[in-house]
Amino acid sequence: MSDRCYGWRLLLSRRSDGDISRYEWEALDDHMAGCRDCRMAAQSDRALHLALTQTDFPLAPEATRRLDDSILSALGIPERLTVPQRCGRTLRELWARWEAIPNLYLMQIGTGTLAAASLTAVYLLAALHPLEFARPADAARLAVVRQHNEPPVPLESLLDRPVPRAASLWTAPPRPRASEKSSSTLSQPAPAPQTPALPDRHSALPETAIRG
Amino acid sequence: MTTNVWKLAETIMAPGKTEAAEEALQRREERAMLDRCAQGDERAIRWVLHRYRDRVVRLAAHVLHNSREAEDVAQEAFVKAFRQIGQFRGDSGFYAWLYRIVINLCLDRMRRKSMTSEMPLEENIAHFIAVSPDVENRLSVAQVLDSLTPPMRAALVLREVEGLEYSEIADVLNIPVGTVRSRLNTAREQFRRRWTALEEEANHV
Repeated sequence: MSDRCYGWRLLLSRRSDGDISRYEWEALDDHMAGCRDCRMAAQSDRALHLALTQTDFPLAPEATRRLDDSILSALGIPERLTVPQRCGRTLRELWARWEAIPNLYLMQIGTGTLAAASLTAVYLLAALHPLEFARPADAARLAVVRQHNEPPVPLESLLDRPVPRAASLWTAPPRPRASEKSSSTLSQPAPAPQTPALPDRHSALPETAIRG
Repeated sequence: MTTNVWKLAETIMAPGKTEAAEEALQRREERAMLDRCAQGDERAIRWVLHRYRDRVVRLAAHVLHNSREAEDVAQEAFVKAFRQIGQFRGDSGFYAWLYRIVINLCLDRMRRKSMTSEMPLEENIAHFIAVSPDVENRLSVAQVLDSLTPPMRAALVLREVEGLEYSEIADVLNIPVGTVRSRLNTAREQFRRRWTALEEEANHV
């Protein structure tokens, strides 16, 4: 390796570090095209880079644990017995490998809780402020109630249901007590049970409807 | 995993976040963890170990050329770092401070004993050879690397393996930037001369 190329090899070293301008790069390329020594030097730089970067020193899991424990014990921190550690090596490895699954479940539980809380809040608000959350038809009906201070439908219409027994129970007078009943039965016959004067649905309909 | 999910959520929430801001955030997080380490918080210590363990072992192994000794040095370096963490002012990155401890321990160790005399070369470089099928070439490279002085090897490893800038290497090795440049150049020049000689020798044989 000749000393006359020392300056070029300096540039070569700087090129390895990315500390070179474009002009210098091109000049170096031109020089190397005609200089065998500098080409060898470039080859040597590549070999050095590969030797250093392709060599790794991976720590085995056991060595990693040993190193951590030795550092912690040297610092006077006792080895903490977490649940996975107590369960032995196999479980510990399983935990290390599948740690994502319990985390996923926890996230799902969290998301579900959040959704439930949001729904509860919405329903509570709806109950506290019915007008804001009521449907348009309900809102109109509630407005009528507020204006007239009376129920939105006449009470009689509630009896106009296809359940006559329920209607008779609604309008039936209270039954007399047993003592009253015995005395009254001696003097006069018991009155016939009053049936409510239900409106005849057929009679209430217009005649055209009956005919049709 | 949970941390990754949070990071993903943060990225989604703030897509315009710059890399510098991310780096600053990481530095703040690291600073907070180091403060907790100073108080003897085990979880923070484990966090730092998890973050730097492999890098420290790799750096020591490259400088010492011996993975078993590298583990010893890594242990010593971490214990020293955690004991003196109160002295870390935060002017430079924590890794630079930690690397400085590692390099100094490596150099001390190599000064105390001659590596080549204590351990046969084959054992020292066994790892280098094992990872490559091109055994002869790797053997020659490892032999040449082994012949470099430890400070030069440290500079080379910090530049080539760790990818540190000149200023960062200067910070770690506690030398001026100009010295880093010249040391790297000298290391490469020595490597070139020995490697070329070995190559020519091999071609003649």
